[in-house]
Amino acid sequence: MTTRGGAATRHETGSAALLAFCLLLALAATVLAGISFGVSALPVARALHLLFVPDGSPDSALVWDVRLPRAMLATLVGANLAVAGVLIQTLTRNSLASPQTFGINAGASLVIVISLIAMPGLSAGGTVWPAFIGAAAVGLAMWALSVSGAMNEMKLALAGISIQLVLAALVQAILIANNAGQDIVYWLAGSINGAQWSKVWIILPFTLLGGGIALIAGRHFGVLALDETTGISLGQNARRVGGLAATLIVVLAGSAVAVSGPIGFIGLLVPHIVRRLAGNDQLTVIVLSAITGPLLLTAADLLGRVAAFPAETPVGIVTALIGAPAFVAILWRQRAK
Amino acid sequence: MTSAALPSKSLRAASVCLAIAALIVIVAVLGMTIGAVTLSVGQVLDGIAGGKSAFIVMQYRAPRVIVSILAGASLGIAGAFLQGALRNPLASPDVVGITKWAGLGAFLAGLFAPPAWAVWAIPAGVIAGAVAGALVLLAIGRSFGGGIAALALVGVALGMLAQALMQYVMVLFPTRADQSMVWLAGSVYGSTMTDVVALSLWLIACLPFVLIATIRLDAGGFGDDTLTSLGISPGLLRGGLIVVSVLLCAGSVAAVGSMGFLGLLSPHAARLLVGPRARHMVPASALIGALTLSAADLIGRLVALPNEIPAGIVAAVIGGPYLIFLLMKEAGRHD
Repeated sequence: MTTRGGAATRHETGSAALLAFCLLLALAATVLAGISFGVSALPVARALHLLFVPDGSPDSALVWDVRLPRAMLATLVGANLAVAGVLIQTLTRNSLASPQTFGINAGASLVIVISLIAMPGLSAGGTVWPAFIGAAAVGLAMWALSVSGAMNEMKLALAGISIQLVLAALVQAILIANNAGQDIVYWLAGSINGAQWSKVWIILPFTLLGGGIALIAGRHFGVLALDETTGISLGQNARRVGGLAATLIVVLAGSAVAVSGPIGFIGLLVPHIVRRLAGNDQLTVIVLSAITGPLLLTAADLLGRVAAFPAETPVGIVTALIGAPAFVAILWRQRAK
Repeated sequence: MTSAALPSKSLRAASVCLAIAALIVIVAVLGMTIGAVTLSVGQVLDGIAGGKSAFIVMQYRAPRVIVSILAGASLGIAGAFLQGALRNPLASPDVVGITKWAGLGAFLAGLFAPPAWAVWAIPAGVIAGAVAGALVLLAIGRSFGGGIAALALVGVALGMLAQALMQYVMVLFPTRADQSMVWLAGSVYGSTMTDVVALSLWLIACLPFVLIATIRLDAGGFGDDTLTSLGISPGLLRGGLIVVSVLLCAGSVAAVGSMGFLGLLSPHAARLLVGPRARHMVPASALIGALTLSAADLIGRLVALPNEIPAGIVAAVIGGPYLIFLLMKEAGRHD
């Protein structure tokens, strides 16, 4: 029995590693395609060459100053949102939870917009703190609704989406009142158009820190899926683990919103895709989500640049176009259970 | 006993409706005082009577106020019918995305039809969009069974899809983006007498169906088996209610875009004030819808002077928290 179980685990680990490798390859290919494609297209070979041997030519500047920072930003934001999505679904035991459907992204977005208008001198890096405050405030409200236990999964998700809709309406109202209507799509749907290295440096520490802690603590998050008594008898402190997960969700989602606006559906979809592919082992799901999130977001960004060429569709609109039907599909499967 | 109770209930309903109507008049007059030139209440009344400010009041301010009243009333009734037809307190056209699909239809029709046809193409687009949204929702919703939140969630997700589609079309045709923002957020800005006439004609055409549906609405609360045993076809009853609801919703979207949450809020408020009987609740719901939309427009014009916040955004800020409250209240019930 034990040997067979052990063999199965090893087999699963092996197939998860293979899956991770394939997903990484796909991510690399998408990033490379994203760097080659654009109004002035580069052959893939030349783009690849310039990546390793920058030669100071205009093409090299295009790759290094415009397209690479954008690809990096998409990768980091995708990883943040996906890992935050895994954690929030585990923490609330609700497979419809995500930074977006629980209003956390919109909370971050609203507080950033208010801060930017109240303090016009606020630097881009300074927006992460208001983002954390907004994300944490909505997160707390949703947590309070969630632990009261009165609502089932779908009602809780609907309540979260209602919060998101109200906060989004407030964002719109504030932007219109302050003659900043042109920023509406960015602060409602999210976008990485015009990404710069400065934004990459803003989010990178939070991705590394948040993602790193999530990986190290990954095994322990499994305890959140159990009831408290079982957790305690296994020597785990469910409350402390829950608090850690909640903090990570706020940091990962908040920093993503600070650099790219409230991009939706990545945090919702990626955990479902990954669980479908690789099963329910918590650590495996976190690792694979940290790869699948970037893959999905870079692919969506590429699609957004192709779909209305030469105009660019903000990536948040593309994720909504893909994500909304997928959300219906998730609800459909939910019903079957 | 019952014969004594009934008139008193009708009396109560009538007085509530009168009170709301009085509030609507006050909000409407206040709404007509605000604008590029501020008028006093006296000047507005004088203008309505044909005095010095007649041009500005009748040409610019009155149409806006009347359109917000008519559109709000249609949404209030549409919400009452859809909630009754589906026996789902969360199922109003604005929650389940039908208004968003209607807005998408209007936007696409305005974009692709030749300008000369716009008068017909846009209403046709609105109706096509609303019907498509309702059909997809019902087709998917049928298999979800009884859960009230499931249908609402599916509708919200479909609404998000319509919104993303509209934003995508905005990217494709950036010069038309302003227009699509109006369809998206809902606004009574720039309403003209033509809008008033068009919406009034539409509502008059719908009126007989609204009356029939109101008489039938009470039966909608029964289960399908009970209806059959009463000799009423449940499919016909619910289908009819849905059709009237979609038609009313289409009319309001054609006039003011996709307003959020009015259709959700009004029937609930009406039920609270005058009780659940359709012949009391439906008129009250219409009046509350009218009051909410005209008040939302008034607030939207006041809070951010000299800018205007579209009424749809104000309505979403008012109505969204109500949806959350409703979910908390309904938490234990209906599974």
